[in-house]
Amino acid sequence: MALFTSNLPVAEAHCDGPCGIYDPAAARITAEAARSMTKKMLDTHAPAGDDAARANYANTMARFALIKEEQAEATKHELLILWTDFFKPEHLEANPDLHDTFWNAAKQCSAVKQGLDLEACDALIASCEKIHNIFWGAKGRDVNFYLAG
Amino acid sequence: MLRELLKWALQRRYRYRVSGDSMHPDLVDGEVILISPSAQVGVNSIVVCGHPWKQIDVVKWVRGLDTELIDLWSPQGSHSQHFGRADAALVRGVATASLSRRCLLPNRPTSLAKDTP
Repeated sequence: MALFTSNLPVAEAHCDGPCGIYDPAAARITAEAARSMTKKMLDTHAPAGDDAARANYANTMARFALIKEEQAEATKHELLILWTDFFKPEHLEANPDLHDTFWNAAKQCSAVKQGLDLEACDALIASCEKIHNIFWGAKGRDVNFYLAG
Repeated sequence: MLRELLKWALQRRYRYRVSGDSMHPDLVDGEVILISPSAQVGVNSIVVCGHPWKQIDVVKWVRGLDTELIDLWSPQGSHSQHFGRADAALVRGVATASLSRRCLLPNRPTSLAKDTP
């Protein structure tokens, strides 16, 4: 069979390649984006105008919700890459609450998706900061945490 | 399945070899699949599609689509939430059967229920 399949075109179904480049900034950026969309949705109010205005409002809210959902899911993905690919058992020895930190952060991503809760967004960003400090501490580097927004 | 083999013999199906396990358990690493370049793409189709910005073909589930863009998804690995939606013109075909296992492919992801938040 291998004789007949060795030259076939390949459809890639790989997981992430082992590039070895990790940075918790990716999770922080998407978490900030999810918070921004949450705030925009809370600040956008239904118009009392005509059908066109209401339709435009519905369209805007749908777009905001879609982006919020995507960014929160991307945050969870970036956090899970750090958790499963970067961190090793020796990091767990130095940071005994490492698993709880990531587990809670992943749940906070879901909370951001499920509602319009700025406190949940802030909790997620706080978790990103904690993970930032653990990550750069593990690499022996002093990198300041900052927010783009 | 016999019909799929016949269409392959008539060159209405093309073979691809799956590399990687992001579609597990519905497709596994090394599996040879048949694709139909003329089949209608729909939600829950398995498609072989050009990556939006890499020079590779990927095999993914279709989670959503409109006239121009396709939302790709897989149980593991990267998908449209990471690399964006793909241009519908990049679809090479719909995967119809596994030549390795000699069976038709499922019409919805086996792992969908447990992966839905």
